[in-house]
Amino acid sequence: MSNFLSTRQIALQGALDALALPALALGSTMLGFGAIAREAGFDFWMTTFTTLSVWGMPGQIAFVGLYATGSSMFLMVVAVALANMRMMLMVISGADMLKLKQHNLTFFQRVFIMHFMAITNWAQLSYKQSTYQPKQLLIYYKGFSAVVFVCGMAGTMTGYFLNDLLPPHTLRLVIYITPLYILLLLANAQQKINRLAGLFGAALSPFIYILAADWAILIAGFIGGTAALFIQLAQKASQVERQDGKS
Amino acid sequence: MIYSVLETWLIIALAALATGGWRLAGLLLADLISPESWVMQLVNAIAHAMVAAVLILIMIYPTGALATTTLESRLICLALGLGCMLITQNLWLSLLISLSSFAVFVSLI
Repeated sequence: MSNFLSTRQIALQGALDALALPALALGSTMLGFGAIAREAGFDFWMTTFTTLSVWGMPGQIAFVGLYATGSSMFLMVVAVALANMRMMLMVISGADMLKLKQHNLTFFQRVFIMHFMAITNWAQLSYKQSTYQPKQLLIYYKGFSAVVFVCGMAGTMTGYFLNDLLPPHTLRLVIYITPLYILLLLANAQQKINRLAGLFGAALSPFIYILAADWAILIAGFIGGTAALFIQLAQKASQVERQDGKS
Repeated sequence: MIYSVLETWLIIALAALATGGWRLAGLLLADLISPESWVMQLVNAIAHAMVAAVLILIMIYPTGALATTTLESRLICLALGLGCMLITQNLWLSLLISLSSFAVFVSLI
């Protein structure tokens, strides 16, 4: 059925899916970032430019947190690089889901498209992957990302000026939405290996965090992902064995 | 230490480069990895595991406003949402159940 949808309808669907919750949730998280950045001593333009150019919420929070405590420049850059290393994997995986090679885009167009690849957009892609054809998925992604980005920027700017816009009671409820929403998407990932990897990553990271602090994300990711792949390979091998046994 | 305005802008530029560099590397590597290969499966699996790890860490060791809620309330409501998602496969119902129970928890405490 999705074959008959026009470009406009698909982009609009992406925009609406974003507005339905994820963009507003991310906007609220960025509201928190704007407030923290102001407390840390950033001016308005620094805060806005950080969201615009980094566009990766956990890295940004780590960044202003360290800035507030007066850490060395080296440590701050390393912390951001570390917290955002997953961007590389999300871009590889996102480019694969969008079949970016098939789209006849220039290198700079691809760089531009991938600048918006962050957790929320990536998880949505993974969730909607089989709903649309690759060409449509890219249009959907553009519509979705545009709204998420605008809300994220608006949240950052608003948060800078109005850090007490929402009563704390409501704010904590709203901030809970982003991690909850994305974890729910992951639990429903299309392929079993990816659900398994998510489960392992989530189960391991809190314990690794106690030992390895910020490295926990990388370590848990590598162990969880590799373990999931091995389990899948082992299952495939035993299926082949069983079929061989029957024949 | 306290940074000057110029130094702060330099740090922000470096932070942006540190993130953009990974994205660029990803884009270049994406061309090299064949979509059907086990390497792509591994990359996808690690990406899922890392994203899940980031978000679970936000849930368990939060900062800011979320840190004023209890660990039990955050985890119980997450479990409710996940359970509902696995049984019904309905995203909005799961979100609704999880969030409304979180709202009840938060207002009780």
